[in-house]
Amino acid sequence: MNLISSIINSLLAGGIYALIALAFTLGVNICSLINFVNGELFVICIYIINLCVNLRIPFIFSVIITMIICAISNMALEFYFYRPILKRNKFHSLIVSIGLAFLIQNVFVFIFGDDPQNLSDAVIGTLMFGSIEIEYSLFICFIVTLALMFAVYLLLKCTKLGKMIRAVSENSDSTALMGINNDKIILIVFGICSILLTAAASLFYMSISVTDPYVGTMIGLRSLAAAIIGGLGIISGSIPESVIGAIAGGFIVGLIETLTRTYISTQMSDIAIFLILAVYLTVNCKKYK
Amino acid sequence: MKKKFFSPKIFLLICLIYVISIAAINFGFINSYWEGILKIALINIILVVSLNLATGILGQLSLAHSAFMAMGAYTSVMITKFFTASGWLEFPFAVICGGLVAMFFAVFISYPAMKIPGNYLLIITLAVNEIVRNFIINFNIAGGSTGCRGIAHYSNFSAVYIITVLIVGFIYLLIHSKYGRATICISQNEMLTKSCGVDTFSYKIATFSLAAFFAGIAGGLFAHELLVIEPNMFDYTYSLELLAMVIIGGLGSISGSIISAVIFTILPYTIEFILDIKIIIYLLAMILVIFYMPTGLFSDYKAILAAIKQRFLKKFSRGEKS
Repeated sequence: MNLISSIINSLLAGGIYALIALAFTLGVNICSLINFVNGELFVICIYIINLCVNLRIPFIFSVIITMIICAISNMALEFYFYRPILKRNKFHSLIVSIGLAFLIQNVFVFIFGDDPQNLSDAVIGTLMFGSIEIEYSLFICFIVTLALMFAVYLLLKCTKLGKMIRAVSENSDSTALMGINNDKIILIVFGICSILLTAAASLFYMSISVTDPYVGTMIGLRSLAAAIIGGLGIISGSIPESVIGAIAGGFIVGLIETLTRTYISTQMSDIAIFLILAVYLTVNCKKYK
Repeated sequence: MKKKFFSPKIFLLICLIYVISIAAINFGFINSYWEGILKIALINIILVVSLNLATGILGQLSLAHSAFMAMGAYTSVMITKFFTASGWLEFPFAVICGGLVAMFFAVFISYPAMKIPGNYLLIITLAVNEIVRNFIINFNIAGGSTGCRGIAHYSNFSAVYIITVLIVGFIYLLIHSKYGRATICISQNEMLTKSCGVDTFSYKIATFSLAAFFAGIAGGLFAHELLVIEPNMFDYTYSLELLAMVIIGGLGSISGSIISAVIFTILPYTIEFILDIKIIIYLLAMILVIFYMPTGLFSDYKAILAAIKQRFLKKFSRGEKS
C-alpha cells in the first residue's frame, strides 16, 4: 500500500515538472530557443506569492498578481533581450539565455540573500481513498495541471491564435509573408509561458514548505529533461502533440524521482533522471534532425 | 606555415615573461600572496583556452568544466596522499591521472549528446556539474563537504608556467592542423562536413574529451596550489566565470582567451568590492559583449590597436593643422 500511495503522490507532484516542461517546449517550438530563464522566473514567482500571502492578500488574488508581474517581466525580457539576438544567431541567443538566467539568480541572491524561506501552508489536510492516503494540495495540483494542459491544448488546436502560433512554429518565413506579425506571436507565447510558470509556482507553494533561491536551476533542468523525454526536438512543428509529450514527460520524471527516493536514496534521484535522459537520447538519436 | 608555428618572437616573449616573473618572485617584488594569484591566473589560462577549444572551436556550449576540474583535483589529491614517493615522481603521475579520469567521464557524458545535432550537451553538462558536487558531498569522498586538507604543495611557479605553455602551445598547434580545421568546419556546418567524409561524431567526442583532459590537469594543479579543496569551489559559478571569460576574450581566439583570463583573474583582487559581485559583473559583461561585440573584446587586438592609433593620430594631425 505504501508503494501505491507513493506512486500516486509522485504522479501528482509531477504536475510541477509538466507545467515547466510545457513552458520550455513552447519556447523551443516557437523560436527554437531553450529559455533557461524559466527556472529562475519560477523561483521569483514563488517568492512573490509568499510575499503577497504574508501581506494577508488572499491566495487566489496573490496568484493573479504574480501572474501579471511574471507576464510583464517575461515579455520585457523577450522584447529587450531575445528579439534582437534571435534574428542574428541561434548560438548567441542560447548564450544570452543562460547568461540571463544566472544573472537573474545572482542579482536576486545579492539583493534578498540566500536564506531558506518557510512557506506558509495554504491548503492542509489529506484525502483517504480506502487505505490510500493523498494530500489535498497534491490533489489540487493534479487537477490544476490537467486543466491548464487541456486549456493550452484547446487554445492551440481550436482558436485562431493557436492556428497562428502553430503556423509560426512550422515556418516563420512564410507566416511573415501571409501577414502574421511573428514578433507579436512570440511575445504572446512568452506570456503563455509565464502563466504556466506562475501556475507551477503556486502548486510548488501549496505542496512544499521550504524553498531557497537556488532551487530553480535544478527544477528547471529536471523539467527540461522531462520535456526532452516527452519528445522535445523530435516532434517539433506539431505543437499540440508536444503538449501531450510534455505532460507525459513531467509525470515520468516525477515517478522516477519518487521511486529512486524511496528505494535507493535521495541523492541518487538526479543521477537516475539524467541517466535515463542519456539512455533516451542514445536510443532515439536517429530521430533528431 | 611552419615558420609561423615556431616564431622566435613568441618564443622570446614566453621566455622573457618567465625570466621577469621568476626574478620578481625571487627578489621580492612580488610577495607570496601575489605569486599565488599569478599561479591561479595561469591555471585559469589552461581552463579558459581548453573551454575555448570546446565552445569556440567545436561550437558546443559546456558548463561542466568545473566538474572536470573537481574530478582531476580529487583524483590527483588521492594519489599524492596515497603514494609516498618523492614529489617529482608522483606529482606528474597524479596530475595526468586526474586528467585521464576527467577525460573518461567526458567521453561517457558527451556520448549521448554528440550523436544528435543541437545543444543538448549544455543541458547534460549543467546537470553533471550539480551531480558531481552533490556526489562528493553526500558520498563523503575525501572529506565530503568539509573539504580535503593537508595536501602537499607541489605546484610551484615554474611547474605551473611550463605546463601552461605546453598546453596552450599544443592547443594552438592543434587548431592550426588538419584536425583543427575539420573541427572548425563541424561548428560551421555539421552536415556538410559529414558529407565531405569527416567522422564528425568521433571528432566531436575527441575534442570535447581533450578539453576535459586539460581541465582535469588544471584541477590537479589547482588542488596542489590551494592546499585545501572543498566541493563548493567547483560549483557552476566557476564554470560560468570561465564561459564568460571565453566569450569576452573572443570565441575561437587563443590570444583573447589568455588576455581575458589574466585580466579577469587579477581584477577582483585589486578592486575590493568586486569580489562579492564578480559573477554578476562577469555575466553582465558577457551579455553586453554578445550584443555589441560578438567577436570578443580581445580577439582582434590589432583592429582595436589600429582604431586607437587612428584616433590619436587624428587628434595629433588636427593639432598640427590648427
